[in-house]
Amino acid sequence: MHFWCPFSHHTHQAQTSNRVEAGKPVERLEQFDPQVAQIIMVPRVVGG
Amino acid sequence: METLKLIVAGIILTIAFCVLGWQVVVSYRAWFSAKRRAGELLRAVLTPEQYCQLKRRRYIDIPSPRDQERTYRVPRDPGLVRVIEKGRETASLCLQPLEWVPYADIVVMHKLMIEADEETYLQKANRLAPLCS
Repeated sequence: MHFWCPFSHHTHQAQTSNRVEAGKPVERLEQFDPQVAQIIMVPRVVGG
Repeated sequence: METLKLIVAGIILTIAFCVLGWQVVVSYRAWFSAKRRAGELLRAVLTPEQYCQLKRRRYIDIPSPRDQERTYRVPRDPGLVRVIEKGRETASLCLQPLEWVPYADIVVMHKLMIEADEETYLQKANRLAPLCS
């Protein structure tokens, strides 16, 4: 059975995910981590 | 018969204007809500010092995680990101999202990309000559 995962959906759209926690450096996430309190997705970007 | 046609046309026009007006109201509310949430996220992501700097000077300085002498100056309003090395502006960078997002989200985007993956940030950004040399 396949469940729809918002994390995979956004990362497949070339968005990047970042772990953002107070007092810790920002870190790029490659896989969903349920332990992380806050994940911020960055939209697809292009050089202007 | 003509009067009936006019009445029907009037009713159709009234409904069309109502639907259009409703769409404008809904879009405005969505835009306003997105802008408010982006402002809240910006405040949560920036350090208190960066948030004060953004309010006071209309830009934030983000130190490079790889090079201690390099700083990225991200403007609050639309514009280029300035690269400052050893106190001197050496380049301007242009990088933008493919979809529309509130400008506060763009500031967050620059901060997260620089701090989490500076190399990719520099690869994706279009590098231009410094604005003030």
